Amino acid sequence: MIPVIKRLWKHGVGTVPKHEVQRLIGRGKLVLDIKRCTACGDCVAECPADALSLQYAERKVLLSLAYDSCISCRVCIESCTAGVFSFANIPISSVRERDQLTLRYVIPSEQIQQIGDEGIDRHRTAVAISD
Amino acid sequence: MIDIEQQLPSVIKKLFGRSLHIRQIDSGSCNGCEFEIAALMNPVYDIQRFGIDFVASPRHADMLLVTGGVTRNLEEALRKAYSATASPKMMVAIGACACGGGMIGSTYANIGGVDKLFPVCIYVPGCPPRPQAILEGILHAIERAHELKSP
Repeated sequence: MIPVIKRLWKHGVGTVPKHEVQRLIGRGKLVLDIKRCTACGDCVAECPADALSLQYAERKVLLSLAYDSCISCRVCIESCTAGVFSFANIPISSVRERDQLTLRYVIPSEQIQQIGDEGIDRHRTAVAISD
Repeated sequence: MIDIEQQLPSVIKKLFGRSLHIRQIDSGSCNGCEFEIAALMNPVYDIQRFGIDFVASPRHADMLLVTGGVTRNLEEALRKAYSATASPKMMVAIGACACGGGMIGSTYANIGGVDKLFPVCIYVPGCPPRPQAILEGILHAIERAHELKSP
């Protein structure tokens, strides 16, 4: 988390022009365009609140986004090179069960650029890929 | 927002007579959620026109708004406030920390989400949630009041 804060400090978010800030921040919830995702794992490693997680299954990768951890810090938007993340103007609605706050996406194997020998899961420990 | 404004007065009148009293409990919050709750009282949102009011004691309250992950020092205070509330005890978790630990998570000083201690009626995510989202969460919690058991 401290490297993330250092990087944000260096960027100087306050010096960004106002229209640029409004485009970056949005007013609602974080949304994913899963068709662009290449499952590189940069966002999972950068996320300071552990809201994103990747799980490797056979021939596909599961990406989950937990709104009960997301703090809307925009680090995932900056770290993603494929432009998957954006902020919509839809508010996050209140829910009855905590499981409803986690969105789960499936990334098919055609989108994955390269699969190494191991990946990163939610707790930043290396997990072996079974495929 | 307009739908919520239209639904809230009729639902409150049906279930609670005329008014709904809320006790807000800080269980280790960063005060971000408190600012948003305080913004509900300002002229823009004006929550008191629906008959909703914030009270100073859990004994007077129908609903508890809990903000922040439960820290070890404030766990006992939260338990006392919960037991002092009249049934049905409606518990609304406001913010990411109260929903599931949020940024801090479960550490030696922080238990995590409120649902580890007490049953939670409605989760309102966001860091912090907007005042409209809190108002929507209160409405959903009132709609769920008949499901809760009273001893």
